[in-house]
Amino acid sequence: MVNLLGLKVSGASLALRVLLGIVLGACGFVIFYFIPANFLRLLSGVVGAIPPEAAGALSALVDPNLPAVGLAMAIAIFLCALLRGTKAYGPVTIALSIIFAAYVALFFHGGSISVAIPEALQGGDSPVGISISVSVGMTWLMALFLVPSALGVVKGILLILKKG
Amino acid sequence: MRLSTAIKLVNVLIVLALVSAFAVSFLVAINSFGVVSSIRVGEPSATPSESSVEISLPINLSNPGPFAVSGVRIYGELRGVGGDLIASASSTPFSVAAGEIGAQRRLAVRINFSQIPHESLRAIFSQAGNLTLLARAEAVLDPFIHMSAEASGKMPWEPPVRGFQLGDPDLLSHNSTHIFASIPVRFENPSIISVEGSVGVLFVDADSGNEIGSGYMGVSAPPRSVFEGAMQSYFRLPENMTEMLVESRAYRCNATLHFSVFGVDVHSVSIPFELHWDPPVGSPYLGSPSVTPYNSTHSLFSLPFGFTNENGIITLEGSVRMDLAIGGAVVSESDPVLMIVPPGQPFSSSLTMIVPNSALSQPGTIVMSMDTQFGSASLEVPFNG
Repeated sequence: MVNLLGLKVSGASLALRVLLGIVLGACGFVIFYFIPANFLRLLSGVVGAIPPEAAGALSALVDPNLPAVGLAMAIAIFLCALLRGTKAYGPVTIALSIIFAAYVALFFHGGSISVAIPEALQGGDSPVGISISVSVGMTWLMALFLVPSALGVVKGILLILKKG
Repeated sequence: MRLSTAIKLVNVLIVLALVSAFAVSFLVAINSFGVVSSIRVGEPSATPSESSVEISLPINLSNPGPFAVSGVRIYGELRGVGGDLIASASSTPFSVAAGEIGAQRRLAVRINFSQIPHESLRAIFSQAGNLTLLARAEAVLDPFIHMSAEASGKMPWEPPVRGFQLGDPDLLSHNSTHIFASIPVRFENPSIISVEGSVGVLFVDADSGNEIGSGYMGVSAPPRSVFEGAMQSYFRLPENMTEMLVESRAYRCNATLHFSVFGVDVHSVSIPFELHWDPPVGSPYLGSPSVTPYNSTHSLFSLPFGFTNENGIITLEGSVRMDLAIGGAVVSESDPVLMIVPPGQPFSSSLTMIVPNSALSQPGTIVMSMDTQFGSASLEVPFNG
């Protein structure tokens, strides 16, 4: 038996936890880190070559801090799977929820995404010096994705209370 | 036990919240795609009225749902060379309910030119430069998506009147009181708007300051065109034409081009110029009189004379005669000499009258009288016998 932060688990159980943590963490790594970090490269693999003018506009859709937060979230997911049922599960759950909330906020650019359309993509004979920008407000949609985070924090607090 | 139940409940809520969030995102995406792919924009039309123009854009679209599309509107503004707001307009927002297929809507903006400050209009129609055009479109997919697109650009602008000038007048007709003339008018409209207006000209006597004539014509110059026309003008002749027949005069003139856009008077361009009147009887001269015997009691008196019609537009028509007055009484008179003198042409002739020999030895006055279509003029020359 192995003492895992106050929780006695068998070696097989620990191995299973580690394996599950690796699998879930790897999924989290791919979804929350790898895809946003390689967004343009993956997109060009799907839709073909992306013009340099469009690449600038598309890369603006992904916040530069998103991959780093995604990486933190993958680590938190691994720890949650590993430490499930231990004293640390509550705090780790709260940490995962807060990181997920930060990820959501960055993903939605705080609720409003603005993209400037490059002049080369506007087409036609546009007047001199024209600039086009598109803004999408998604505050309520972002709020919907923040609800699981809030509930995760509540769950974490309940877990701490339970262990306490 | 209670905490465990609460944790389980929170777990269920987390799952439900996640599923709901992804489900709503999916529906929003499907709904947005359905609306955007159904949009068909018709030909924009502009309907000018008295002092405004309504630009209308018909739109056909469908909303497969489940969310309503609302607050669809467009807004536009135009700023002048100096960045000052010239005009702005916004359409009335419209909505498309969830499930409404083939909805026909109209985005219409009305620009009321009469509400634009006159100073702004004067500036825009007198200065070349870049105007700033801003257009914004907004739509809401209730309540999750609020979308807006904004376009702004610098638009090169040329004032609609360039090189406004008047040509030399052409005489159309004249009578004893007026001269009617045609004055060529020319200007370029390099801009993208039509010039609808009028040209007026005012003739003012440089000495007295009195208005002595005017002219008027309507002008219509489509975008990027050259306007050329002839303005009908009249020129009132003075009651006493004597001075006008023999003396040069200068007239101070002011030609003004007024034009309007959609019925609003927006600008005027004035050019001052001088009009010179050259006398129809210019550089007059009298030759040396000659006296030859006619019979035993009378002699033949001849007086050569001449002048040049220096006026550029008038053909002088009339006659000249000569009288000899002694002591206030006319003792002899010549036959009239008819004259038709085209513009710029010299005229010379000789007046002849039969004079009693007794009159030739007395001091008197030779009166030359000229009757023309514009009136009469006379010249008195002392005769010393």
